[in-house]
Amino acid sequence: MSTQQTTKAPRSSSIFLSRMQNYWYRQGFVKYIFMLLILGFIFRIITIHALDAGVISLQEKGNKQAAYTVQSKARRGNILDRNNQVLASNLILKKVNLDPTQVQSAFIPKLSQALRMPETELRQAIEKKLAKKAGRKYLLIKKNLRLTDPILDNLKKLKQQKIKICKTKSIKNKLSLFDKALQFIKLNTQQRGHHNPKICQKETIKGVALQSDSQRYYPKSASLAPLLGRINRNRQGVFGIEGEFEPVLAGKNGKTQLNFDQTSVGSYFNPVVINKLKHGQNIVLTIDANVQFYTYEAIKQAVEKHQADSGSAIVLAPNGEILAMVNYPADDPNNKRTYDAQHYRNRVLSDKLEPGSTMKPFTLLLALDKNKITAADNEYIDTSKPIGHIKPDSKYKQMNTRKILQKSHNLGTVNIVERLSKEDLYNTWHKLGFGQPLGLMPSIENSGSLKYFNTWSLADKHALSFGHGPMEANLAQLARSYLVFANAGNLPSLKLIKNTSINETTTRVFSQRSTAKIAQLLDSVVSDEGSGYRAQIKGYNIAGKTGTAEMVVDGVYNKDGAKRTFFVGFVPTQKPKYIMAVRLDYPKKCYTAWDATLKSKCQGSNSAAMAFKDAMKPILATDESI
Amino acid sequence: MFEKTGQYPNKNLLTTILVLIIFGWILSFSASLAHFNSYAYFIKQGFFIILGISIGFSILKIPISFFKKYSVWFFGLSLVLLALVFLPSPIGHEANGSRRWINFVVFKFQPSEMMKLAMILFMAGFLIRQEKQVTNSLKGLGKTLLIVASSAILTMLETDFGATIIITITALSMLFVAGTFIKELIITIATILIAAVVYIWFDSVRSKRLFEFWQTNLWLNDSDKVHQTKQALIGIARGDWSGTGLGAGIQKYTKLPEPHTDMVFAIIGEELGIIGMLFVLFCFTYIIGKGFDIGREALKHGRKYSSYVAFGVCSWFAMQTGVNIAMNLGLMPIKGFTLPLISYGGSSLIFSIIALALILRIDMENRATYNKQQNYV
Repeated sequence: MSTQQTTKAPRSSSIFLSRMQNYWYRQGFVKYIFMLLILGFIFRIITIHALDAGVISLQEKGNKQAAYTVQSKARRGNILDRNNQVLASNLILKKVNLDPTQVQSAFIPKLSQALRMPETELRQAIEKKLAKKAGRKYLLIKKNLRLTDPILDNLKKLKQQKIKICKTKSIKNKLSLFDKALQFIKLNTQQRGHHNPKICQKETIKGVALQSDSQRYYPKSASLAPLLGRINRNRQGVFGIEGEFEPVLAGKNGKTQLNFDQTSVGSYFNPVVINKLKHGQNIVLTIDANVQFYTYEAIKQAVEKHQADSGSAIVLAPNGEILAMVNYPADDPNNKRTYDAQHYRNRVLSDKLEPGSTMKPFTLLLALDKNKITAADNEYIDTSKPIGHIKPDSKYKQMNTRKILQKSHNLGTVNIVERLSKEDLYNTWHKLGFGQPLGLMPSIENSGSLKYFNTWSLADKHALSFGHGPMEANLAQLARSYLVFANAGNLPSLKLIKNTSINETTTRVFSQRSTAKIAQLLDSVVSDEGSGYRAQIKGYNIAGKTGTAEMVVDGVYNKDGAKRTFFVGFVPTQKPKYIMAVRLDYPKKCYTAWDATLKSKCQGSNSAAMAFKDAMKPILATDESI
Repeated sequence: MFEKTGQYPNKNLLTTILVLIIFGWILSFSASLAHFNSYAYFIKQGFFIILGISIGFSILKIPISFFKKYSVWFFGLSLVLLALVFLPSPIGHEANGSRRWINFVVFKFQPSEMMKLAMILFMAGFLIRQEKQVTNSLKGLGKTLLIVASSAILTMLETDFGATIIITITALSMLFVAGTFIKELIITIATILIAAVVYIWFDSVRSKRLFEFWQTNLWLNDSDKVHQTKQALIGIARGDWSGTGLGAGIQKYTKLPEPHTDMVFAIIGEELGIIGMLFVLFCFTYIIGKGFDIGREALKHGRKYSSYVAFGVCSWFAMQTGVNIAMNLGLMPIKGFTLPLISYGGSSLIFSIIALALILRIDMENRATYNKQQNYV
């Protein structure tokens, strides 16, 4: 206020001095405002570090944005067979990606030629993408191209071609400086005009990208599908070996954090490994791809010929290694369009069932071991009286053991089992591995059941002698029990993964003498007199046993006569090299031996035994050691 | 033209200025490394520093009366150069969408930097010549505004917003110090402010654009406009107390645009930490504070012209450093303001050195013997 009073006063030298003083203060005023500002800055500088950037602190954010995470994908391991043939592998493929916003329309005819697709289709696909708001720059036009595909070559050539392309270019009109300034201070908000000259240029094609891709490939297609399984869209193994050994096959994706860092010498990336990259390991199976293929073809034919619901088979080497594990129906796993979970079911391991007459040799083996029978051809067993609810037939009043096996006679077997104790039966069946897991593929394996002997009724004991009643087993367990014939009464465990380091332990179940005797009897089953006559192959000694079991459908034995037919056999009889078990579910069309067009009731002898022969014939033909 | 005062320049002030120049040389080099990755800009800036310092030392020999005498010519020349910028390409030079440079082949000259100094020299003379009018009526105020407008329109056309603001406010603050009626000054400023407020208030888009920076949470705002501010803050936070070490900052590489010009203070914060920032702040405070004192000392001796010039230079420096540092500390939206003496740029550096040399000369004249003082203005 004093300022105004003094300034309005008349001018004199004394007043001039006082005015001087005022200017003095005014200069000081500006100076102190500046000093205050500096104090504010000092406060801000010191507190800036405590600021929060959204959720995290400012410093953390700084460190975070200086770091990059790099993912490296693990390679999936291959699956090989015992001879290192590839059963599942990764195929390097290419895919073609278009950027519809970049591809010049003048190039579309040439591009469609190169891609080997109709021009209209390509045009439509591009226009459809362009009409969308999101993902306009990404059009996957071809995928899963093999490296040898001619499309790749075409594209390479196309990319070198140049054609003249004319387009109108929108150029903004130049602004006068005055308008620019007006716009700068926001007085003029009028938009700039455009002019559109036509510009022609020679150009190469734009917006075509080739990208790498990989696909799981199964060279043996459907023959191994239920055993190997497949991978899903997320490249995780589902079903079979792929699913069971997923952690081993898939490996571990690597994750590395790159921290951008800088010293006075230079800038660099400081890598910190978060997850170490571990590629998937290869898995070598005991499977023999050739044996597998022949068996698969035979089972496939048998299922189609007999109109069975399904068929499965397993082939073992004498030391317990699985040479083939076949299931039908099966799909080609390379075909991603068809998918039916039932077709990836490994019936060999995951179905438990009553093995039927194929168990009879073991009843006789036990009786022979316990000296209840001699199994000599002159020892006759009375089959004229009924035992339990099993009634005698009019044809045979008494038979020797050879005949019992040849004709697969139930009453004869029951007669023999009458001489054995329940405990001995249970112990032997237990030693044969029934009701116990095989440990091959725990996630899908159904290890069946064997009830404890003190719960058995008499009828149970009778039924057990011909493979029904208190036991259920999967096909692999059944085939494994036949290994006693190849190992002189010893039983090795089954192996699916080729691994030499594990020490083999076998359990002795029967004596060498008894197994040799019964093997000889089984050899006569596959002769003109036996039920397995249709499994004979010229020039080879084959031993085996047919089996037919009532099928349990929905918890009860099927009234329509649904049968499950079996054949378990081994070649050659004296020193077996291949042990094979075949199973057909509900074959509906079977034929008599004397007329190939005459229909007959389906049994092990007229369905499964024939499949055995069809499979074994090419296997034996290619094996020079026998 | 040349005249000796018989005094040496103030040692502390001179040392501080030289230290700050060398410090800026090294820091702007470190910041520019990411963009140019060569010594070219280091050498170029070195050349400007040598040129600026040699001009500065010659100015110490020239009495302030010389500048008073030729200030009108100086101002006129600046106006002409400002207008020359608009000539087509070989003479005028355009970069980043704005025309601010005259092409001298070897380097590009920015007349708006020269205008800042010319305006101060001219304004000081004008305020003394028109003292009666300035202190008496609105007429003086009107004349001042006319002078300011003549350069402001040109700088506005160059879309050099920073220079316009600095020149205008420096001129107005000099007017304030020269004893214009506070009432009238307030009325004028209030009128301009009200007009601006009305202009902005009734247009939500404009007001939003203007106040968006303070209204929204910086870290929830994803727009490009605040990206630079965010990165500057992150850089300063990375530095902490002692910094990552000279040349060891990483923000300048990809994240922070304009690291060697507008954002050099943030780079100092990252590489030299709070200590480095405080050092720069104290240097500027010392130089500017000392400058204000020299201006008042001159007024005490009755040498108004020198006093006004010293005050003008100081308020220019205060504003430019204040706005630049506020920008870097995330207190203001980013607009093109450089940090004097430190940011890369030839014209800005040379005229800053000249301006500081004037202050040193005024101080020397203040301390000269009474005989000599008679001739000084």
